[in-house]
Amino acid sequence: MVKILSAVLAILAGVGGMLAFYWMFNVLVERLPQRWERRIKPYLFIGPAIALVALFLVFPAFQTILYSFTNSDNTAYIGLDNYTTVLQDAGFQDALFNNALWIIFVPTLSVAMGLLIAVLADRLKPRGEKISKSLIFMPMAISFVGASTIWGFVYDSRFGQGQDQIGLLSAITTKLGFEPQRWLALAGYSVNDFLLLIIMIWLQVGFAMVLLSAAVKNVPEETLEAARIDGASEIKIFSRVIVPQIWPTVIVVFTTILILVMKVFDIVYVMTNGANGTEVIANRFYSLLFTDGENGQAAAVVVVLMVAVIPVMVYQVRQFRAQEAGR
Amino acid sequence: MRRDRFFRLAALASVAALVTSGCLQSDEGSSGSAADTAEGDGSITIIGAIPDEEATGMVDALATFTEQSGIEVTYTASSDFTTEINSRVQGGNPPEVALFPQPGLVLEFADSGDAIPLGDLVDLGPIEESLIPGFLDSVTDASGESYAVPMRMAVKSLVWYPKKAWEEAGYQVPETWDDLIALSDQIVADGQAPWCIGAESGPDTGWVFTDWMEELMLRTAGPETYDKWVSHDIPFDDPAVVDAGNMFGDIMFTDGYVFGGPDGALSTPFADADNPMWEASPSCWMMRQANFATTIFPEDVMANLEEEVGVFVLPPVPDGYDGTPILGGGDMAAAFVNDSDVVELMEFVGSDQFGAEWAASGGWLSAHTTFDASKYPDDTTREIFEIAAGADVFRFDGSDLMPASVGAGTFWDEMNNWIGGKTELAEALTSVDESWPSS
Repeated sequence: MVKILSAVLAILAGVGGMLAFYWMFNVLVERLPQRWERRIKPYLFIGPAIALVALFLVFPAFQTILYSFTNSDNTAYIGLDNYTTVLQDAGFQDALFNNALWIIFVPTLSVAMGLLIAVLADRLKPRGEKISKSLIFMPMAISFVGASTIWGFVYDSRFGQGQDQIGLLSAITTKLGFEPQRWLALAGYSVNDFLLLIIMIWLQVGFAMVLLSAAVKNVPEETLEAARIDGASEIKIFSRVIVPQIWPTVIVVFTTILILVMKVFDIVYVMTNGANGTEVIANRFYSLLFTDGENGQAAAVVVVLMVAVIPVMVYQVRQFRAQEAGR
Repeated sequence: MRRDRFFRLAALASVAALVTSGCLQSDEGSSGSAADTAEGDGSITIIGAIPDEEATGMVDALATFTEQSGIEVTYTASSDFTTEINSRVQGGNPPEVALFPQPGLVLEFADSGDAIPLGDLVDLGPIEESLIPGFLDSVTDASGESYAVPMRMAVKSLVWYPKKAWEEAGYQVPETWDDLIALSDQIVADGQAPWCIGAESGPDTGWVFTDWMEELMLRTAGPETYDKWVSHDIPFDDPAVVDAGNMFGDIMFTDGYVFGGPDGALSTPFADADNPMWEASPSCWMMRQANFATTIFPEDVMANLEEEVGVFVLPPVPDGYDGTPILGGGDMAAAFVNDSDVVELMEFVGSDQFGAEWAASGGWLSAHTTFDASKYPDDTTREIFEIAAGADVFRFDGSDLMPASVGAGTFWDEMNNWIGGKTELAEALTSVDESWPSS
C-alpha cells in the first residue's frame, strides 16, 4: 500500500515537476522580444529530452568505448589487448558466424512470410482476414523468454525407457520411427541455430505482416485495375505493381528486424546459453561481464556490436526519411 | 544563442553532480584497529544473501539472542550480495556482520584487512572442537587465522532412494564403492536403471556433473589434492583428475546405468530427475543430490518424507582417501567491526546451541557435530545430520571456489561437452585448464 502510494506520488511529482518546468520557462521565454522567443522556444522544449538522451545514452556509449581499452576491473588502460583477446576467442568467432546466420535468415524469412500472409489475407473475406491476421500477430505479444519457454517444450526430448515424448518435434519423429534427439545439441549444419531462429521468426512475422498489410492496402486500386486491363497475370501484378509500391515499407520492416536480430540475446540465453555452437554476440558479452567479470573484454565485444549496427541504422534512418519525403 | 547553450550545459552539469554525489557519501574509519574491542551501541546489522522468505528461521534464532543480550539485530537480505558488500566495505560503511554464501569472498576481505580475525573476537577452541573437521579451512588464510563462523550448512554427498520400493526389492544400502557398483549391476540385471541423473538447469546446466566430479575427486585423491586442484596448484587435467573423471564416466556411460543415458541426463531438469523414482515400479533408483533435494520431491512424497525417502552417504572409494568425506556448502558469518555487541553475537552464532529455532523451520543443518539433533523437524533431517556429523572431513563445493569463469563457466560447459559425447574426458579437462584466468 505504501509502495503504491509512493509510486503514485513519484509519478505525480515527476510529471508535475516537468510540467512546472516547461510552464515556467515558457513564461520566461514569452517575456523576451518576439524574435528571440521564436528562436529560443524550440530549443527550450527539445532541450531536456536531448539532455536526458545525452546523459543516459551518449555518455554511457563513450564510457563503454573507454572501458574497452581497460583491464578486467577497469582500473588501468591496456591498449588493444581486449580486442586481440576477444577476436581470438573461439566463442566470439562462433558468435560472429551465428550472428551472420541470424542476420541473413531471420529478417529475410520474416519479411517474406509476412508479405505472403499479408497479400493472401488481403484476398480473404473480412472475417477470415481478421481471424487469420490475429492468429499470426498473437506471438508478438509474447516476450522472448516466454516464447523460448514455449519452444523449449516443442524441442523437449525424453530418453528414458518407456517415457512418453511430451515435445512436439520428438513426438513426431519418434512416431515416424526415429531415435529421440537432443535437438539443441545438433551442431552439424548449424541445425540447432536454425531451431533457435525459427523462434524469432515466429515472433516477428506478425510484426512484418501488420506493416506490410497496411502498405498493400494502400496500393491504389487504379494501378491494379490498369494492370489487369493490360492483361497482366496476378503474379506479375504482385511482382511488378504491388512490390515496387510497398518497397520502402519492406526496407523499413527488414532493417527494424535486422537491428533487433543483431541484439538477439534472450532466446539464446534461455535455450542454450551458447552451448553446442549456438553462441551469439550479446550472450558472449553477458557471460564475459556477469559470469567471468571481464569488464574490459565485455566492453570490447559491445563496441564491436555497436560498430556493426551503425551502418544499418544510418541506412534505416535514410530510408525512413526518403519514405517520409515521398508521402 | 550561445548563452542559452551555456545555461543548458550548466543545468546538465548540476543534474549530473546531484545524481552522482548520492553514491559518494562515505565516513572513513568505522572499523578501528582489529585487536581492540570497542564498546557496542546495542544494535547490530547483518547483511546476507539469504532471501527474507528463507531467513525467517534465522530471524527467530536471532530474536532469542536479542532476548538474552538486549542487543538489537537487524538482518537485511541483499539480492546482489557480492556487489553490496564490496561497495559498503570500500565505501567505509561495512555492516557489523556479513553472511557469506561462499568462503572465497571472505578470504578476499581477510587479505584486504577489512574482515576481523575470528580469534580477536572469540575463543576459537571450543568452536573448532565441535565443528565438522575441515569446515573452517575454507575461511582460514595462509597465516592460520580464521575469519568466519558457519551459520548454516548444506550437504551434497547424499544419495536418495525410494524407501518402500527399495525394501520390497530387498536392496541393501551400500557401505563401499564396490557395494555401490554391485548394487547398480544388480538393478540393471533386474531390468531397471540404477541412477537418476538430471543436469538440465537452463543457462546453469552442468553443475550436477561438476558436483559429481568434485565428489569423486575428494574420494579418490583426498582433501589435500582436492584443495590443490581447486586453487589450481595442480593442473586441471592432472592424472588425479582424470582418474576421478573416469570413475564418473563409468557411472555415466555404462550401458543401462543412467535412466535415459547421457542424453537423458543432459535433457532432464535437475528438479525432475527424481520423478521416475516414485513410480510404482521405479524406472531408476538412486539420485545423488544435496540436502535441498527434499524440496524438489513430488508433494505426496514430501508429505511422508520419513516413510517414502531413504538416504545414504556416497561411499568412499577403494585405494582413495581413507575415510568418508562430505562435500557441501555453508553460509559463513564474518565480522567487520570489533565491538562488544559483535563479540557477543559471534559467540552466540558460533556455539553448537545456535539454530534450534531455525532447525524447527526445516531445511537447516548445523555445522556442529554436537548440535542437539532432537531440534530437527523430522527423521530424514536427523539422518542427514548424522551422516554429516560422522564425516571425516568436510570440503566446500570446489566449483564455487574456482574463478567464476571456470567454476560457473568452462567447467560446466566442458563437462556437458564430454557427457554429450562431443569431446573426450582428457580433452575436456585440458580445455578447462587452458581457460583458467592467468592472474
